[in-house]
Parts: sequence; C-alpha cells; structure tokens
Amino acid sequence: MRSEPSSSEPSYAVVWPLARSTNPVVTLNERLPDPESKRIGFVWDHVFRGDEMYAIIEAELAERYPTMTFAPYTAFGNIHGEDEPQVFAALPDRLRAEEVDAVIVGVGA
Amino acid sequence: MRACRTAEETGVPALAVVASGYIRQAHASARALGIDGVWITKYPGVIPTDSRDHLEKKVRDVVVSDLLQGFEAPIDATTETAVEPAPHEIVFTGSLDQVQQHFHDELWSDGLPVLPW
Repeated sequence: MRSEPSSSEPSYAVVWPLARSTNPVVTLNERLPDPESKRIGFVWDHVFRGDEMYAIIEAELAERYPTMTFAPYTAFGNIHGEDEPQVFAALPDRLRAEEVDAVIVGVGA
Repeated sequence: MRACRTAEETGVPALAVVASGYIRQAHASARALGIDGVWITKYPGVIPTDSRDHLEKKVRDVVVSDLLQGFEAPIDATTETAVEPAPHEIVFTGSLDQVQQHFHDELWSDGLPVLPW
C-alpha cells in the first residue's frame, strides 16, 4: 500500500494483493429450468453424511418430479478417496456414460 | 468444488452442497477454480453433530428448496466476464479501517491486520 497524506485521516491505496489466476474461467452451463424428466447425478466425497442427504434429496425430487431419474454416487467414485486422481480423470467419461443433465456435488464442510 | 469444475467443463451443470460455516470458503474456492457463480446450496449448521431427525428436517426444508432454486436460477454472466486486475493495479482506496474491512470482505486476509509500508 502507498499512503497519501491528507489533512485528516490518511487514505491508503491498495494494489491487487493476489497472484495471477492459473485456472481459466469456465463458462457455466445452463441449469435446469424444467427439471421434469431430467437425470440428476450425485457426486460425493464420502464424508459429512452425504449418503443420508442424497437419499432424502432423491426422494424429495422424485416426489416433485415423478419422471426424474437419478445416477447414484456409486457411479462416479469417491472424489476424496485414496484414488482421487483416477476418479477425477474418469469423471468426465462417467458423467457422459450416465447421461446426467446435472449433478449435485457434496459435501463441503 | 473441483468436481463442480470438472462437471461444468464436461457440459454438465453442477450444484454444490456445503455446510453453512464453509459457504464463504466455497465461494472463494469456486472463484479460484474459475467457476465463480456456480450454485452453492447451504446446509444450515454443523452436519456431524445433527441428529438424524434434524438432518432430515434441514435437508427437506432448506437444502431441497435451495437446490430447486438453483435448478431454475439463471447464470450470472457478470461473474464470467470479470477481468482480473493487473499485479500493481490499485483496487481500493480508503482509511486504514476501511482497508481492513475490505480485505476481510474480499477474503484477502485471515484476520490479521494489514499495514501500509
């Protein structure tokens, strides 16, 4: 920061404090304005009771959208396990194979 | 959040579920990963200590409704087109207190004081 003297409280200028981003911006995909008949995948890091949550979420969504289908978290592997690099490498193919229209990813805590 | 990025890169919209105490960190991670604007659904509270009944109620009453909002929410195009400032570009001007608050608000600091040099 560089101080700029003033008659009262000093004012300070702050230069950009972060390093240059190394990840390019990803254009986000349109979500599901019409969820009926869509297929939802569950992707889990195998912690924080995601299995319990996903079962409840699936039941609630199925009740609201009877034609919605679901791909279980077992289809995608543990994204936080000992074989994490392999799971991430295979994830695009698994998402395509399951033909999901959206995924719910959890659980962060 | 990395799985969200992978999904989005694959053409699949992703919605994250994050406990309330980690929402800001999740947004910061999303920004760092280039997926600022990804939908982050909040689970209210501390997951490991919630009873089964509490967890079920929170998921039904809060998480599911927030996910449904996420399904319908349009993508915020402004987050995708934001240009990163240059290394020495001035991004804020203010008093010392204002600088501290701005660093806190932007998640540029872990709370320790920021002082001029």
